[in-house]
Amino acid sequence: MMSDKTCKHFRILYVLGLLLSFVSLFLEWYIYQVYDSHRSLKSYWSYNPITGWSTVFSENSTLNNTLKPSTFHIPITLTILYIIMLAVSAYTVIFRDVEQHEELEKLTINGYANIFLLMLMLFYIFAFPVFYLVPNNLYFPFLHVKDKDANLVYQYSIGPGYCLQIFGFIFVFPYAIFYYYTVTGFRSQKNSAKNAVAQYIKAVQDPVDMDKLIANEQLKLKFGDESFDILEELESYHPQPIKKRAG
Amino acid sequence: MNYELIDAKLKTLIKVCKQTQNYKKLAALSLVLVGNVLDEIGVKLGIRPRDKDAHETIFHYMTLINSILQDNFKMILFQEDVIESVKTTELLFSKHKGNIPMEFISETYKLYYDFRKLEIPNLFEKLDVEVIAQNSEMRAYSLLSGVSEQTKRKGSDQKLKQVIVHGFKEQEIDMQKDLNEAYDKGKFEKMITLKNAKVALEQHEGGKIVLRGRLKDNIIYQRSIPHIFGYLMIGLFLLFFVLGLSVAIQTIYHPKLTAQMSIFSLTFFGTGFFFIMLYRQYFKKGGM
Repeated sequence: MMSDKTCKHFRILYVLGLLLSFVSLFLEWYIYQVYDSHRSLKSYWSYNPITGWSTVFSENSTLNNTLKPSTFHIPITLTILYIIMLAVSAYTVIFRDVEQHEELEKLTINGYANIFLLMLMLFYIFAFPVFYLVPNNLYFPFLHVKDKDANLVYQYSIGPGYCLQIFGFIFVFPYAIFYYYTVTGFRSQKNSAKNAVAQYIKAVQDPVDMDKLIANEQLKLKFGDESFDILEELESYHPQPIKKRAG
Repeated sequence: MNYELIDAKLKTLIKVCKQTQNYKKLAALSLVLVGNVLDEIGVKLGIRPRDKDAHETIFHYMTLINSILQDNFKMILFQEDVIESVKTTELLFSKHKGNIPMEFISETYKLYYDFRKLEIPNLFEKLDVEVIAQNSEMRAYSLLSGVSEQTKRKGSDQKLKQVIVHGFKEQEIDMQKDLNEAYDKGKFEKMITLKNAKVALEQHEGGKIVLRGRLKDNIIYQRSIPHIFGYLMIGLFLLFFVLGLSVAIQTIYHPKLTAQMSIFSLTFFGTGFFFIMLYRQYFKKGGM
């Protein structure tokens, strides 16, 4: 069925999105380069949310150190939380498939976890340029600035890590919303409902032990025992004389 | 319940009781069995079981079932002569402490088998949303619909619901007539389904879609799967909107960049707008 395949494809896309988002955390999110008029690289700095700024030049390179952008740090706790949510979400989608699970109510928390992950992803995509880059005079997404006085060319650009984060968000979004919608929009009718009703009926009915009744009668037939009291045996049936209702 | 086993044992018991001339036992058992089957009928219809502690008689309980069915479905399950027959047997049983004529015992067993044949549908199993799905294109739930759009749709949904409920009522009246002439399990089952569907429609706000069986087999779920493409459009819109917003905020910080950044603003907001229009055009009307 086409719908089955659609769901499966988006699920695979979701897992791929999680993977991209995870990998993105170890790649460069922002690149800052400075060239001279001869297109010779004078400074190179790349930013990663875990390691911060790093460069390909040696620490002794004075010009490179002078041109280093302002230092800023994305809280490491946020990154750890993000990694945890990625793991939780991957577990949810791989091991708690919404189509296979019998009790959808138990998946509600997973649905909310997926939405929370989406929020975190969107926060990274939005907060990284707005809260960290722009206040530190690092331009977003790309900018090429020529400084004629110093004879230098500045290049500001987002890195592969940030791009992967964007792709991760696109891949994760549809299935996360679909999962949330399904677990909150549907409710399983528990298979035990029918049994529960049957058990209740059994509990309210008068117990009838046919085998005992037969055995007693057979004993009576064999030994002529007349001491058996029918109303005790079928103790549940004790009708009272009908009283006339007042009015 | 294994009725075949019960019947086999009952046959043996009747045979032995005939030999021992213990008709009291057969009389008491007949009333217990009738009481049990009536309890089953009552519970399945959502009525309380017979109050044995208060010594509620069987014929009173039958009257209660009839009155509840009369109130809810405008039909009666037990004819007056049947209730009278049970009443006579019960009164005689109480008066003579179980010593009742054989014809009354036979009549009670006959009634027991008649009641068993009624095959009352289980009220707790009959809330079937597919009835609603088959009768309407009603939107089940919308996560990301705009408030104003939702309000508009709410109005049209209400009108649609009224039409559906009216259709249900007409069908119900026809079935009530038929059921009062002769009991039919299928019709009664359908009437309960219609009633539940009607209640579900009237109380649908904030409710969830009840599933019977696997999610994959549910018609509403199957119809909701293509909406995932709509969610993709929303995701793309959100992404480009956020990117555009980031660029816009940057130009507020650095107004001198406005000219350079205008191409990015235009691209991001334009692409976001394109995707939201795509969503509105092809997916929102589908009833997400």
